[in-house]
Amino acid sequence: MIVIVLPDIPDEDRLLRNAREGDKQAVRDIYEQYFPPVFNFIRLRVDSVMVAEDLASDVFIRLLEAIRSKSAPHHSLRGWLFKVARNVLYEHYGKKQQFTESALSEWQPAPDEHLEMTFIRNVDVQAARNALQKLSFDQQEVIILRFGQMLSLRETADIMGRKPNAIKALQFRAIQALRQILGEIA
Amino acid sequence: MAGRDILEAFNDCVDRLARGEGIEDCLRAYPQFAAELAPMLETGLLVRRIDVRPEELQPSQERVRFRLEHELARAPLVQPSTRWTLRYVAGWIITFALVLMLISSGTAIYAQNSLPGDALYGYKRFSENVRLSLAPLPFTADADALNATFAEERRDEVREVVAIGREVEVEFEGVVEAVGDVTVLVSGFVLRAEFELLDFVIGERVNVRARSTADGELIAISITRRNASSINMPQPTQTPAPVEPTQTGTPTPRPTNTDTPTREIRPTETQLRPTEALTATPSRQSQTPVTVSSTACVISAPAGWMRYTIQSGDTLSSLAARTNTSVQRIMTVNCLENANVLTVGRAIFLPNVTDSPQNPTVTPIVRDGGNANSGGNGEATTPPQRDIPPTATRQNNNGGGRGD
Repeated sequence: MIVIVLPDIPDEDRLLRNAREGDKQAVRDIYEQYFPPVFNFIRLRVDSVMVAEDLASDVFIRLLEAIRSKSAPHHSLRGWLFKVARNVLYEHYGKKQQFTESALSEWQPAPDEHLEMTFIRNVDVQAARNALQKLSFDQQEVIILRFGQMLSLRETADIMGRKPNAIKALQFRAIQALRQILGEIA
Repeated sequence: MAGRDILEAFNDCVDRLARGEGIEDCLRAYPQFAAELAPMLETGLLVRRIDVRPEELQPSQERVRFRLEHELARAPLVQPSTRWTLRYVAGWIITFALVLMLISSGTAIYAQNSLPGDALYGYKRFSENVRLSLAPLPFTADADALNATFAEERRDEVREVVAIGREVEVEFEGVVEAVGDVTVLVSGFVLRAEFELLDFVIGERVNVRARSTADGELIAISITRRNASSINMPQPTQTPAPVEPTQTGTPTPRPTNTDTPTREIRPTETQLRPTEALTATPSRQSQTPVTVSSTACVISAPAGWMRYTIQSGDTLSSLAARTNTSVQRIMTVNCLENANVLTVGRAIFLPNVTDSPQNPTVTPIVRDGGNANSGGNGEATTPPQRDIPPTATRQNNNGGGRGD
């Protein structure tokens, strides 16, 4: 299963506006739409389903708090959610003082729905996960956001607090590094 | 250069993959980097397939949904009253800020000299109200002091408006100093009422709405008791309690404020200076309102009594003797406290003794044109008949006319 959140700006803004005005159903709709990508974003970088669940839960509780304290965003909800997820992750790792080493060891490959390249068949997705874990935090993040979540360059730069040109270089080096690790594993 | 170009090419290909294009499409756009970009983009697509399994995602999504529902039920997302209050407070803060800016600017200073009817007068009153509304704040003047200041400003404005004969509606507050049938004296202003006046107590504080005429007259529109609900409105059909001429011989003073005395002040009367006219109330310079106790003396002319202006040489005893009454009676009716102090030019009420031709000095002082004291006889034709007890007045007027 590939969780892709395509930008649907009008609906996103409408949901956000309704939620800010106190519409609980809008909050539920936001949750149903955005929990999978947020959970995925977090789950790729923590070693426990329960921890990922707690952290993803924190993201949406913070959305509620933001609405109640009038500090909720007015647009780009998706970017806001990933930014909060990122903060939640940093806080989590800040407490543990280390990043996970084997976060993805228990994962199984997603069903092979539509292969685009014969190359992919030959590569163990499990190996890709393990390789991803060996990257730096920023490299993991840029790959997940740009390839996993297919966010735009600007959105990714905004979430990570970098300039777009820095993201261009970062994503290039991150994929090169990932490929190198995959080659070592192979 | 090449490094920058391949970064751009790679970024463009990542965007194309996100839009659903294939790797081959992008490589055709950048043939010079195809060899380097192809394995990188393939690795990127691999990451796209690293995903959470549904059997892992769905239980988590349900559990977190439960937590979220719990949080949603805990409290409303938006506190309506808070939202409204914040907007309200913010609106007033902005309003005050603007007004303070205006007050501190020259506009307010210029407006402070405006009179009713001037373009800036409304602004003057508005800025005063703002200053009053700010009065609870610690750095502002006391509200009572401000009110007193503004009330005095109102009266000054009325004086100016009357002096220049501007026709405009004015409002002010003041103290009732004398009351007649159709006129009332409030803080030195003679107000002509085109309606029957309620029974105001001397010393009572009232709010006045009036219009000034080109002649410098003030026509009362309404006179309202302060701190009371009774409003004096035009009541054309209402007449005061009839005065029985037969009671002339045995008048009784009515010291309460429920009586309906027959009294009058003519605005055009010059000899009768308003502040000295009838009462023991302070002069117009005194801004302290008269304290009205429960035993406040109300000047109340019994039926058949007439106004008389004290002449030089008059004494209460001589006046009492001439009018066949007692000193005490005159003092009671006129609220006089000291029989030894009489002010020349002051008006008091005396029994009308028209049947004694040797007493021509007891004449109505209610005059036009200011020549009331010129013998006081022949000119006594102008007051409306209703201002004078019917029988006695006609007799008096007739007598005066003949004597002329």
